[in-house]
Amino acid sequence: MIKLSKLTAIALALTMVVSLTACGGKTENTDKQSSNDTKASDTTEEKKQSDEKVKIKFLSLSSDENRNKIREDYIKVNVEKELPNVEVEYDLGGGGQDYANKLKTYNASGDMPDVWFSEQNLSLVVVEAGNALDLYPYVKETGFDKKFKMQEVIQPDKDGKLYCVQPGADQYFTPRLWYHKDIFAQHNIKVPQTFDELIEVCKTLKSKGIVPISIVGKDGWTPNLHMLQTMIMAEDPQVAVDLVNNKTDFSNPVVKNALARIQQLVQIGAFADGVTNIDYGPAVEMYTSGKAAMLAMFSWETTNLEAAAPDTDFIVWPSAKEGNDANASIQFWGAPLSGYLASAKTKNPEVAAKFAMFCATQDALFYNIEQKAPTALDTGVEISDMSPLLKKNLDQFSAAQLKIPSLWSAVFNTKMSAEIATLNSKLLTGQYSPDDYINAINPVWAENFK
Amino acid sequence: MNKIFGNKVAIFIFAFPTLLLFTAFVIYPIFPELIISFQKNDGFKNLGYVGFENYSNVLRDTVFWESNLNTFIMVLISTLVGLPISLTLALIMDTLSDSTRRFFKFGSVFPAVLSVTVIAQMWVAIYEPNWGLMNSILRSIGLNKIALAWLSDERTVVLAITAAFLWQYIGLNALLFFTGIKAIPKTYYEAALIDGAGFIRTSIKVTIPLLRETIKYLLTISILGCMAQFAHVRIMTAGGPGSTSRTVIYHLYFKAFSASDFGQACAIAIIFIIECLILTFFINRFVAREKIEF
Repeated sequence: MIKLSKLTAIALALTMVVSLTACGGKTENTDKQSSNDTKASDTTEEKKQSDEKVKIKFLSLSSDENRNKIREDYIKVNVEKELPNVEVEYDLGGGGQDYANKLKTYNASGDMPDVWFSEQNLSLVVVEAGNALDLYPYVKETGFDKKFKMQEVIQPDKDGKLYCVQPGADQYFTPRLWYHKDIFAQHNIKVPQTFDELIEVCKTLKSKGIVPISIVGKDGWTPNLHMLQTMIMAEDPQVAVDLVNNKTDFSNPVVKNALARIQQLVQIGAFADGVTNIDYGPAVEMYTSGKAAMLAMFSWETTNLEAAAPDTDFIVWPSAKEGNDANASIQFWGAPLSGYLASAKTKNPEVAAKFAMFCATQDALFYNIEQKAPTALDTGVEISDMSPLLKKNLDQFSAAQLKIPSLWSAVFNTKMSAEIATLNSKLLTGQYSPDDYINAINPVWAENFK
Repeated sequence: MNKIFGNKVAIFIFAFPTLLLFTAFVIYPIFPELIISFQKNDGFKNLGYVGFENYSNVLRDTVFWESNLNTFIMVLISTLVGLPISLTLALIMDTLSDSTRRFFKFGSVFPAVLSVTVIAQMWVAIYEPNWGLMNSILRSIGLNKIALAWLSDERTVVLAITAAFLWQYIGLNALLFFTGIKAIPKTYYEAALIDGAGFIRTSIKVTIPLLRETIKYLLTISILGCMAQFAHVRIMTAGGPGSTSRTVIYHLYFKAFSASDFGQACAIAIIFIIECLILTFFINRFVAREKIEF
């Protein structure tokens, strides 16, 4: 036994000596060879580097059809032609709170994707953490800023920094109340002009077994993004302006009335059963399939809705106060930090900045070509053959004298967005009172502008 | 062998790698968490020390207590309903023939090895108010009135989520009980048979008392598993409607990653650690204090 152990030990020692000698020799040879070939390899290395593709990790929304089309049909298709030295790794982040949480987690770790798409409230968090790249030098260097019809969309902030490039399509998006003309005609229902008429229409539709209004209820999405503001503007648009400018708070009687109107809609059964768990896709599908007579949604869905439900038309949200012209004011989605951002820690800032500008251009192309929608970024595409619905939308948008930015996209910070989403979800149960809502949100609102 | 395990130095050497990992990944992170819990912190920087303000805000937050209540309900249902069902299934499994038992064993493990996402999505479909399986069954037997929007109704959402994760682990727990039953020497059963005890009497007088160690183990992992409940809630309701179905861990996640308030999130984490330690103490103190040796 002892003999066997000794033999094994000797064999092991010999094997190690042989292997070390072999390894050592190889290194020496390689060193010699490499020193001889230094000059030759330098030239090859330079050529290799210029041929080598730069890898860019791109995080995008993947829960709505428009974002998917922009990524799949425009960015993916054109990147090879326009940025041949860029290899893109696509990171699909879902949508809503899932996307927000993913981006916030990246932000907390400091390990951001090279380029990503985010709305104002999310972008703010990243900018405050110092994780966003100042794109202004690259925008000026490439002359990207000269392509904008609205120069305010591409202006740097008070510190002279520009963290986001955008197609400028958002500025034209506004919430609409879409409806099926056929369903209304079939049941002899007139388009509502006032909020009280809307209630009656909902009651009629409900009695006929049709979901009156389809909304995205998960995480309180529809009230978050526009319904609360819509209901405020239905009574007094000035209160929405005051909220944007932090001149009032949620205890304003107009805000309370707006909350009460949403609660009333829930209580009369205007929304689908289980509304608090309905996501974006199912909400749109509920409308396009004809299960719901109306859909509360932004105008960015115009083309999709026209294609999926040809009897679609829209109305402006009905007024809730006599003398308030619903056509006179409109809310728009755009915000300075809603668009494409690049990471401050990216290994290739110049390439990342160029890719962000490329994405903004592809985004604009999508809206110009597929949606026939205008954008602040001039892509050179002449918008022709605009559908009657798109034209109606644009005409009504242009005719509105008062354009108010969206509270959600342009005003709320991340904490305000998270807390109001919880409360809006509660509001959709119909059991949560406006007073409780106001008591809960006002302390958060007080900190929103700090 | 006995010499090695009697030597304290040897024990330390063997246990050291595990202790090192445990300290690095479990004990150490508690200290930075404790420090952050006294700060106003947005996850990126310390915005100043605020003393016990985060703790006071958390303890005054109704949603925190609501999430504690939800967690408590889940723990209670899981231990008082889930474990007895698992035990009953294990007792029945013990009476089955080998081939039938094999089928039951497979069926028991199958839900537990599936991804939580799959299970949660399946239950979301089951609970769908209009075409979901649950309401279709209820409507088909004329119970239209209780065909609810299970995941959107404040009265039912917590119970609905609990049922989903209970279903996922009930079989696995049954299998663990069954393993415990198999470890009980046959002589006890032979004695019970001679005394004329039937299935129920044998189960109550012999099997269950001798399963105390397994019961203690399953009680501990079920309670702690329910305390840490997150994934089912995230996928099925995202804590909604509103905050109705949030558990403590989900509320912690919301504060940290949705509201960017890491100070309060860490305060919740510290309170939660204390809650878990108290629970573990009570389990160890009152359940199966004496070790059973066959």
